[in-house]
Amino acid sequence: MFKNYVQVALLGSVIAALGGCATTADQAPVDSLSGANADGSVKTAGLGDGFATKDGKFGGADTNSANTSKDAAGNLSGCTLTVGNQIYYFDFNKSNVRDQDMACLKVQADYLNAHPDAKVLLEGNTDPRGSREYNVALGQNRADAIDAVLKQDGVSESQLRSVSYGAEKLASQGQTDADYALDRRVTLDYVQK
Amino acid sequence: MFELNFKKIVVSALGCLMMIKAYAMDNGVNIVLTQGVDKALPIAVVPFAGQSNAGSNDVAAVIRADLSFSGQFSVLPSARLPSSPSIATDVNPAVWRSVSVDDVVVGSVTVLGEKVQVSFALVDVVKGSNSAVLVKQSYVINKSQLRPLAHHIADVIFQQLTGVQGIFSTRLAYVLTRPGSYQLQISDADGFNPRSILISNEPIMSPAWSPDGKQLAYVSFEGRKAQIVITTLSTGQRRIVSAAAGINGAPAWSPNGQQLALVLSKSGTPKIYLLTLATGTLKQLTRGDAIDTEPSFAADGQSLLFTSDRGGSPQIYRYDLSSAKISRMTFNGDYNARASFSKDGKKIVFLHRQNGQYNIAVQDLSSSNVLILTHSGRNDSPTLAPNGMMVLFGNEGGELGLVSTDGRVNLRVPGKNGKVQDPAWSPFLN
Repeated sequence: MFKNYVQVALLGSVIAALGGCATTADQAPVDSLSGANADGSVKTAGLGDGFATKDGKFGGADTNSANTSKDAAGNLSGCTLTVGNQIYYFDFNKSNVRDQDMACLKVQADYLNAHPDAKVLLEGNTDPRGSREYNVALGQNRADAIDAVLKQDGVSESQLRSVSYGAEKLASQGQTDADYALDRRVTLDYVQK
Repeated sequence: MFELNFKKIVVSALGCLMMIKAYAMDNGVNIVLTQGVDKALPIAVVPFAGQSNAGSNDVAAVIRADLSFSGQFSVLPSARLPSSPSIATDVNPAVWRSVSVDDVVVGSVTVLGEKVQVSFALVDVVKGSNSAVLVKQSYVINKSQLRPLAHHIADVIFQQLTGVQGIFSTRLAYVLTRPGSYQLQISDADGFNPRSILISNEPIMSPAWSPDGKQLAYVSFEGRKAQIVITTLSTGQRRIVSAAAGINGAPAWSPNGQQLALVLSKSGTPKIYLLTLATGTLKQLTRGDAIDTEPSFAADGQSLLFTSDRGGSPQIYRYDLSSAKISRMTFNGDYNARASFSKDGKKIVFLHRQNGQYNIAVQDLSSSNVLILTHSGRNDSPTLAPNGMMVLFGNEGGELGLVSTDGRVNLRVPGKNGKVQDPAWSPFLN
């Protein structure tokens, strides 16, 4: 029982390693609080490369909801007919692309076809209700739905990457239906133009 | 294990264990508790001698809090303590019966140079004039171990009086979020002593303890891609075990710790796979166009539960590993997800939606009866305590909640410096 306690106490060392970030992988400072490293038998390691990356390999600015508006029917629209970062909204528990978004997607597809070096990241999201990993699955299906439209318009697979955060990156912290509608989205983010 | 780290200088239960058990059953109170808590057991924990200003290392305070949060005990408030004995022989049963407690915990902490000696006794005051000392032990420890020792003593008391192994020395993993920041933290079972093992500006999800409690698997979105990572807790060493295109999610350890069930979307829709950790061999278990996610093994490793919308709405299914046969487990409610088996395999705990309300529920597999345990309507991510008596879960407001599996005890565990979510209760760590 207490053996494990001591081991978990060593987590303190790892936290200490965070201060120096990922550069000193094998030289994390000894945890002075627990004293558990006193016998020198435990080697602490940093948390490796890519830790707490700002932008990552595929980096780029976060897409925000600056373009979001409502149409006459009250539907959210977050896409534009110009080339640039976009948001596509989805209905509750649905992952089909809305008709009104198709024209925006065509603009992006045309640009991607004309610029083979351009790349986009599709990030799928859901509202916070329900199970976290099920929401990841739902968000992935949404990203894949956008991906499929772009591919149908001729965009190469190498220009597209998708990720689903499920409900982990909410657009709105509120808990009204209007907040949830903002959450259910795929952001299209040009990581290379 | 314990002997390696503590010098037990006295280990004396008065009377053999068998006799104590028999006594406890004759008593007529404890046996009711083991069946499902009709009434919390009244107990008093006297402040330990030598600990007047112990702060967070106050052994009696830790024991008191542990027993209270278990829901199985009604702990006498400190202000109502009728006297302050520190050894068993000074416990006068009549005095304690007058405040309606059945058991009294007394003890002391004595400084021995660099170390401290902690002694405690659990005294039954129901048995007439001759108090029965149920347990009496003494330990010599480093000062820094006072709090873990207090949890251990609470486990000893819990086991003695309920017949069930206590969970006070276990740990919790969870994700703490603040705007733009995600931390994977591990704390003691009472939420004390939180330590971050990963801090990222991208989401972290689905922590899962290895069966031996030494490793944690989780999903990290660092670099804006999903990866399944295993961290060895003693060293902080990280290993990326899955980084396919799309989803790498919902890791679940097999009971022998050699395999990880997980979810990948590389073949289209999200499907369950089985990864053998030593070889990296990957086997696809489920197929088709539906979402399959949230695998969770039975204790015997022969089957796993998962969530699937193959029937139209998310429901719980069971996959038998030897026959590859899939059977549906849930039929009540239009959304059931994130299930896990009780240790004896007779029940499943899961997220259950009815009338738009998301609550935690438990289903008895022989009767198919569903007991809804929570009522806020915004819950998720249930995780069972290793003794099966409590379920920890998240709610939309960013707090954790705790409920007994019989639905009788319900507690809130607010996050101190942010939102806490996605909890995972460790296995027993001994």
